[in-house]
Amino acid sequence: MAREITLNHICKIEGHANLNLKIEKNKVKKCELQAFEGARFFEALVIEKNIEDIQEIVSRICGICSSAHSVCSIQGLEDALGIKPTAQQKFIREMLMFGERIRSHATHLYFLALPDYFNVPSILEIGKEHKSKIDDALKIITLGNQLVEKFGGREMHPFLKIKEEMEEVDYEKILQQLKNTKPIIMRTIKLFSEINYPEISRETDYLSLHQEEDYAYIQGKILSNTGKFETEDYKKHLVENIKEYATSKFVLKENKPYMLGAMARINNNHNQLEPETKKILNEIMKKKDLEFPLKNPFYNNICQAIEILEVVNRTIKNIENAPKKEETQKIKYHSGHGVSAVEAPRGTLFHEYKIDKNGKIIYCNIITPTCQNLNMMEQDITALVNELLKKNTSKEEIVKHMEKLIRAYDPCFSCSTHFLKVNWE
Amino acid sequence: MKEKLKVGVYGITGCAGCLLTVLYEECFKELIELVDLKAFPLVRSDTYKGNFDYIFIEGTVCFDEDIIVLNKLRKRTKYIVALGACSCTGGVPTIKNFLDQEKTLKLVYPAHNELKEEDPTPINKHIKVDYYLPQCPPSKKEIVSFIRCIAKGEVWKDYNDPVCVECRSKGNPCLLDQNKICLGPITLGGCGALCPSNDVICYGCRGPFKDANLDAYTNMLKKMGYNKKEMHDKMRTFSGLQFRDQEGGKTWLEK
Repeated sequence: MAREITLNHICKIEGHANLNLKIEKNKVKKCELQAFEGARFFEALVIEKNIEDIQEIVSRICGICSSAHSVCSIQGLEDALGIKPTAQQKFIREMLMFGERIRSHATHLYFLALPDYFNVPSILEIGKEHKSKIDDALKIITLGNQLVEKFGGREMHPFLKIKEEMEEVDYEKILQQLKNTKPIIMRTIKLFSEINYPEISRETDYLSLHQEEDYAYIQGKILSNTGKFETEDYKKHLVENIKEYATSKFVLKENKPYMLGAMARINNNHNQLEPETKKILNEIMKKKDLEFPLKNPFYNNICQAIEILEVVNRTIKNIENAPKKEETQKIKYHSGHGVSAVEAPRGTLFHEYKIDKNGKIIYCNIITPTCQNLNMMEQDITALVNELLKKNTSKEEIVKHMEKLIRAYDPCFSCSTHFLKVNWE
Repeated sequence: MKEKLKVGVYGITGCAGCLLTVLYEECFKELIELVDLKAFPLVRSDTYKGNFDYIFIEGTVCFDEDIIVLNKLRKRTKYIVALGACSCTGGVPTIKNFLDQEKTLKLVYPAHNELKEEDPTPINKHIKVDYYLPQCPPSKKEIVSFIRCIAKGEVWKDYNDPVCVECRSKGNPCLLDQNKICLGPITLGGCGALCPSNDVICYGCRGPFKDANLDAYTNMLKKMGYNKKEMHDKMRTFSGLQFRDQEGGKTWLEK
């Protein structure tokens, strides 16, 4: 007997999505995760625009990762013009990414994921004895906001220019705040590492930026199980597909699904973590009897909590070594082609631009992390539901588990939906 | 004790940035303290079936489902509050209205059985809107003032000066004087001239200042040496539809 499970307007995710599941002979026959939003065509909106207006536009792709889109677009355009950013520019950009990572992970962990594990509809119903968790969440988010505001002029859609110079900044207050927030972050790690997650384990490919010296944020090569490749070769490895049922693109690597985001980064780059983060992660791994690579997608939640600490430690380290103001290179327009990849909170984000001799955009291609995770999510949902069906689990329980799993991936459908294939004539 | 106002916070097609702004400490604490937050799908999964006093909406109408959602929400609430640039003026997605689709590009849609594209438009093209909290992203200060205002039952007053007023009072060097296309003179203020204060031109995200003289402004840009395309590029970033429809906009901003 065939049955269908449909989840319409899944809540507590960023953006709008539906899930259609078809079950036949007690096995999943079809699993379709579809973004349910209108298309915004960003890759077409920037055509013929001047390079100086691009960051302002593409930043609006996503409210939760506007720093990532801003930094990625600026780096892509610089690459097209052959401009090398100064140490101070890199510093500012990393700060924006750090602030964003902190607030994005905290928002996801507390507001979107946590209610599932307390069996409540939202964090507001979490119960009197846990009320302080709302304050913890808001405090971490505020820390992230203040970092982005300090270096980007506002908390969201930061101001970022190719030609950016910054005078001396007073770091004392921000350093103090970073240190003050640490106990809250330690509580967060404890909370999310002690949750009883459903037990699943599967092999897959993990993809992220990678650098030998540091935990990679805005630079590096692309690392996966099959080795490393250069950012500009992304199209040789990652292929965008369109599925009839969805407004988003689906991306495959060498024809197979892969995973990105916090867990992929931790799996690929745990050797580059700051000493304190490494120590705490190792303690958790030992307690849970785990080894790398982590194989349970629910552990993405733990990895996000760990990353908040990592980002805070890295921010402190970077501020202590803050570079001085440097003269930036003069911009001269000429035709060119550039690619950039950065680690957005949800994974590797790619921006590619071609510009003409007057500095106008003639081609743009953007691949967001969620588009790359969609295939993996469908595959994991299918595996999870098949396991649950074997145990004769009720429909309500299956739905609950599926939603938990989808949220563990922290998908962003706002980002994912707006990239449709564009043909130029 | 007086019953708290029933409030909902919803999003149609958009970037979720306005919804996230509502989640920021300053706004969220005010919201859960002063009103009864009945629905907010971004952070709660229960489905409230009753009616609302106020519904905040983020986003631009980009496909048919957005209109269906808007109509449903309008029927359930006394007041609709357009939250953020997309909701108030259509925002960045409205650039699509000005692309020359016939000649320069052909957008290839995948085969959607149910989804129907709509020209990107602000929500007041589809439903009656009672209040506007513009800007991209909306100002936390304005959101907090609005929540306090409705909670007290007071009348909300819109800001009514161009961006230049706040910009001058801050003592910022004028970007137009530096020969840059800044939309400050024709854009509604209330943002504290945030962009010019960061040495970035005003892109008009709060929508037109209604008494602006668009003819005089565009003539000035012409004298500064800018052509139509260069003006279009800036004016069509957030509020192109409104500038086009405004008096004086006809000459410069038609399709």
